[in-house]
Amino acid sequence: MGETDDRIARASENITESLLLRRLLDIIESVRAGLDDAIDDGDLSANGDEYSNPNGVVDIISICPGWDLQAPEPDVANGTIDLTMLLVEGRISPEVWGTVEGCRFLVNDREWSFDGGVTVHFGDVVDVETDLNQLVVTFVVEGTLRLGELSFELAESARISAGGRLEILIQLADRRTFVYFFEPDEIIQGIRDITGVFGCSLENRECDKGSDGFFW
Amino acid sequence: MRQRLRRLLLVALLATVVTGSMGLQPPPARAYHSYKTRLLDSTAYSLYRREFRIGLMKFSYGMFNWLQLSTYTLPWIAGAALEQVAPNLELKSTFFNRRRLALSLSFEFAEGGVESTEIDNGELTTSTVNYLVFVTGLTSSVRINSNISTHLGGVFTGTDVAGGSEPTGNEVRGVAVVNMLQIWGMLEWRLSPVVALTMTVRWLPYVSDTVARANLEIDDNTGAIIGIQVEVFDLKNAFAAIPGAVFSWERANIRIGVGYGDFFVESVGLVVPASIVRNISAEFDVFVRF
Repeated sequence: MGETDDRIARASENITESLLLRRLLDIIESVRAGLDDAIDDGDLSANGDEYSNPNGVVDIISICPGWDLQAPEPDVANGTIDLTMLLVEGRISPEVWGTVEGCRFLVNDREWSFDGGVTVHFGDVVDVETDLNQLVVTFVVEGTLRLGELSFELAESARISAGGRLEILIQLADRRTFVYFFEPDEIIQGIRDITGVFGCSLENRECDKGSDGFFW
Repeated sequence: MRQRLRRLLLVALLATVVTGSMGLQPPPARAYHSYKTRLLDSTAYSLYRREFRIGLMKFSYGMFNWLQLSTYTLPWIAGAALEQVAPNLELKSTFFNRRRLALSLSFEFAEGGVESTEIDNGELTTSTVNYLVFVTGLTSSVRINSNISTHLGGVFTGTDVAGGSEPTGNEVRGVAVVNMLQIWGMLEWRLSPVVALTMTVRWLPYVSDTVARANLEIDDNTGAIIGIQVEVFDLKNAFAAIPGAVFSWERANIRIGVGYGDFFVESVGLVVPASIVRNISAEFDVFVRF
């Protein structure tokens, strides 16, 4: 556990502070809302024609906001997020995937950027009326996250639940896995594995579950 | 002095003979069905160098003996009526023509747009449809004997049609893409230098599923293109069988044919389903060749 607690803390810090996953989900959610407007009773109106329960591909392109919030126009120099979503009979396929290229964004006046690949999974096919924020959404992100001059390699599988709980899948050297979770306030955190749920403190390097517990 | 006068007279005489012979030379026999003058439409043959063909449906010019430039009139007329420029150009090259066999390759593009304004639910809405069509064809012609020829060809047509309406919040603008392959054959039987009977069969063995693209604008930073898969049931295995005739005089020509099946629009390589044209398929053109 000793060798992984730094990684958990760093991954959690990067993910929560950069709001990267939240940003990705917001973009997909805005497209979902657009589809909801465009699709009425399963019929998509386009080009004067109506397509009933359409099958197809949705290419999502988003220009990143950049570090200058006063910029008058979107500028591709700030990077792009390019995602692919599938429509299955007028519903959203559970997996959305794509790439993020040189995406610059500002969080609390700090200049972040990300380059890499992302996959987002909703667990099941989703109706276009369903708010994605109400679902448990799993992300797989792999790439380089930068904060100013600092650079972090990110290769995480993480999940955000409707209440805002963040869960990070941790794989140990022996390939065993467990989930480390953070409640939105980050005070409550712990491990969830096949034996149950442990409350943990990375700072104090300990976890416990009632009478059972361990430290490192 | 006398010698100089003789020279001047000689030059004047030569100039008169040369210019006279150019001006008085009878025009070559450009029309009538002959060994040299072949059908141009649905065949591998093209105009000879500096030859023109001006018709209701098509204007052509022989750039070289092996290269013909053409433009179809229908897109221009439709474009003028709708106040949209609709350029189209076809290059046809008879790259092989020896003994009984001729082969040609052609490439055409047509581009244009249709715009209309209407009031929808009390709101003024502008709709536009822009199209881009590419047509590529390979044709072979075989002269079986002096009276009978066969012509066989394949045409691949790629289209990209874009349209939509504005303004609304989350407006969807669409693009439809469809590709199709047409195989055709024509039997030509020359009854006389004036009359040639034709029998044309056209078949559409392949039509791609249409991908209708719609552009979804979310905000200034984010947009999405929706590619919707649509099957084109009406056009798969479309066909037409058209008996016809081509009448050819010294310069004037008439091509006419009426048959059964779907309507193959030669000018843009597209097909109108039989259900719309009541199974009547036709060919028609009036043109002069000089």
